[in-house]
Amino acid sequence: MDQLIEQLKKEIIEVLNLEDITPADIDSNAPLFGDGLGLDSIDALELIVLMEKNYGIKLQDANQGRDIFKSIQTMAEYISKHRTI
Amino acid sequence: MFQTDVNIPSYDFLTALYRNSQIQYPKFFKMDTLSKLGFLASEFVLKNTEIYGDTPNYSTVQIFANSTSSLETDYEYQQTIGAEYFPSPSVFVYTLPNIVMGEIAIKHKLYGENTFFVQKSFDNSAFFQYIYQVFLQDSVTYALVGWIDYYKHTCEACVMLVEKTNEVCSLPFTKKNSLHLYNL
Repeated sequence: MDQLIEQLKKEIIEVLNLEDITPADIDSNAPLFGDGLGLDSIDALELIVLMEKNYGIKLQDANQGRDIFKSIQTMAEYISKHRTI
Repeated sequence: MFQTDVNIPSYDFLTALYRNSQIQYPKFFKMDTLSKLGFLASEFVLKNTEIYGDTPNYSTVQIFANSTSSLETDYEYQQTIGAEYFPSPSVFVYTLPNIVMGEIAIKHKLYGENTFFVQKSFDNSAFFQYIYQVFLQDSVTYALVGWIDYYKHTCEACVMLVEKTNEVCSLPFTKKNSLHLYNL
């Protein structure tokens, strides 16, 4: 799980252009949206694309995202259970 | 004020300029190059004016133009589709040239109207006429105007702040002055 979390942090920094932020700066349990990394709705769409492209996970219900994208930790847990690639 | 390698690509040049300017605005890195260019040019023009900051402003309009629209970003978006078909939402949102005005408006809470023209080349006469017409509205005090273009690694920006005032000023907004500033 730790390896997946580190990989996810790197992928998110790259895909969301989070310049000046390193994986070490991201708290795995901090909220991704709002106070934490301060991501917005377009970032949420990029995360959905990332899940499909890199892990073969296609979200069928948009409401699922609320729980999956709470933090890096929740994302990693969901990916480890549902990944197809 | 700022020196860098003349051969540096435009997007790297704008990032270097941003870092040198001491502006703190992480969303800058998410913008496309056209928006980065317009954003930075506007920052330099608006700094030390009453518009700079985050007080809601309803009396400032934005009027910009260019010749290549958002073509560079349109192409970049097309590339993200590719054979596996994973179009990027964050690139897609910049596939219109007027998004740059949205970025400026968000930063400075500008709620005035905005217009973006796509022209073959800078049409000073039409540009001047349009701005003049906009100033006939009582609600308009300032107009952030200019030319912002980016295509094939070439940036061109000329941004001006025009104020409606009865006071005598050193540089009145005339067709001649507008063209002179563009040609600098």
